[in-house]
Amino acid sequence: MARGLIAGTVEPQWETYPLEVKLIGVGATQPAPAYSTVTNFARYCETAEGLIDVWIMVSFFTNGDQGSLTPTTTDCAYVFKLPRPANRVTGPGSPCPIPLSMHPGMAYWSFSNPWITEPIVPTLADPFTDLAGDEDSWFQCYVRRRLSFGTASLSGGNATVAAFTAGPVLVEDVDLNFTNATSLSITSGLPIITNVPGSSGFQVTCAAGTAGFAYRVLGKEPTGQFGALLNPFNPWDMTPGGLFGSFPNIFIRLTYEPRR
Amino acid sequence: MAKGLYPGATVGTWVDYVPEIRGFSALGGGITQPIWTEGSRFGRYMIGLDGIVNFEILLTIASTDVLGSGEDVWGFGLPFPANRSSGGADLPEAGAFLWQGSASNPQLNQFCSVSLMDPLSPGGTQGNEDYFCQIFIAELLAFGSGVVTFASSATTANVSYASQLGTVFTPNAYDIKLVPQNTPSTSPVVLYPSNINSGGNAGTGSFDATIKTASTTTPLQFLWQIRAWPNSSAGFAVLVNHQRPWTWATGHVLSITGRYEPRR
Repeated sequence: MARGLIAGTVEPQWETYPLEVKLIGVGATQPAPAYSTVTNFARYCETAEGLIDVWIMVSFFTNGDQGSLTPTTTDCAYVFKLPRPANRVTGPGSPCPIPLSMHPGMAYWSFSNPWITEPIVPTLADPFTDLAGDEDSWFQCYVRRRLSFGTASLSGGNATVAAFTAGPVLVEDVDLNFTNATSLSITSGLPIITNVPGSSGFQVTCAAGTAGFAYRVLGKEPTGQFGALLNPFNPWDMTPGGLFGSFPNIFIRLTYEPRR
Repeated sequence: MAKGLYPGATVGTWVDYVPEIRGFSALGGGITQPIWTEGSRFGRYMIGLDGIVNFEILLTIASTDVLGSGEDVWGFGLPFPANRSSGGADLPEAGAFLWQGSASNPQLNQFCSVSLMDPLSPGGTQGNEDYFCQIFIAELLAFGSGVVTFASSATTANVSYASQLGTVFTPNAYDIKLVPQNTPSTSPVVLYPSNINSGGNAGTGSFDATIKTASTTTPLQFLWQIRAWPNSSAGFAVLVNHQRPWTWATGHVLSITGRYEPRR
């Protein structure tokens, strides 16, 4: 049905399909975004070349929408349903880390402070056990780093900061600046950042004194099959109303070859 | 018309256009629109057999261009209005490459996501958002051109970033990096930013590099840079405008490539 401004062109035959987001991991509580045709939706159309264009928009408005999982050092990843199974060019059951889009998707916090975005790279899902051999019908997203920020205070020369709910923080990933250092003295020495054993946070230590500081973490991804994948803790804590103040979104546009 | 590389292959018909690039604001008014000279802007599009519009935009800023002021966001004109498929405007339709050009040193650059415009005002008339796209940035960038030296006996040294990020945006303390460059005659104890964009002594678009103890004979020297996450100190700080992610200047390049569904 041509209604348009561009006479003579073929209208893409867009179809909506049920948005499905699954959280891979033992004991996971599955995400439950408030599906709608406005803020949480999935749709697709077949291109002239027989490829499939997919648009997916996911917003976690309310705490719990994002799903949950007791964090461990590994298994945790969001996967998203494709409208039709994909042709896995690396072969059945093999990882296929080829981007499904000519531009990245976007992890994004709406109305937050800081107001930040991170690029995410969609690929076909790994053959996770939870997908029971149906990995060609799902895609996952790679994330380049894990982000956190905050303020804290040195008291008696030290402060402990819980930066993440999953995974270790590497010392060199922490940017830190004092915001008030009037009580520090020559005997305070330089601030030292160390990992806290058995914790996912870090510790800031001076020889003595009190001071306020602001910090930011640009965390490198940890080892493991799931370490660099989008999940409730990566690239940030996805809890709505949490650290970043508002609600997180996942916006993806991709094109892939369906299985024939 | 440019042809394909392979004989016999189907060749899409690319059509050139000059994309409109202009300022928008949330409240409307107060905008001095940019003035682009001949040749700064280039765009082309090709309508696929499936009705999807493939498009490219290239902006190469010339010395005769006027960047404008007062806008929250720059919008980049599409060849045809888009079909807005959802209530949200932030679904990526394209990718953008922001680059300061090979003559810059350093050559700051960013790869960014592009979406349809938010329904902002171009100066009092809303409703044009389907005709434009906007660019999301990850960081706002600024840096010093050389070593900064504290004055003798001073515990603060003013650092201005106004020429690079303007006077409205306020970076957080964790966005600022200060790197000592010498051993001063008296230990400074600490070096940190204070009075960030606070006006007063520091002035707008600046901060005070601050130490605890001053030196007289050999003051502290340092380098600085800002890699700031967008924040709420400036309207729509997450989107490109004439001062984001840096102040655009002669020789800088902004390009977009993507595909979208036109409105019918």
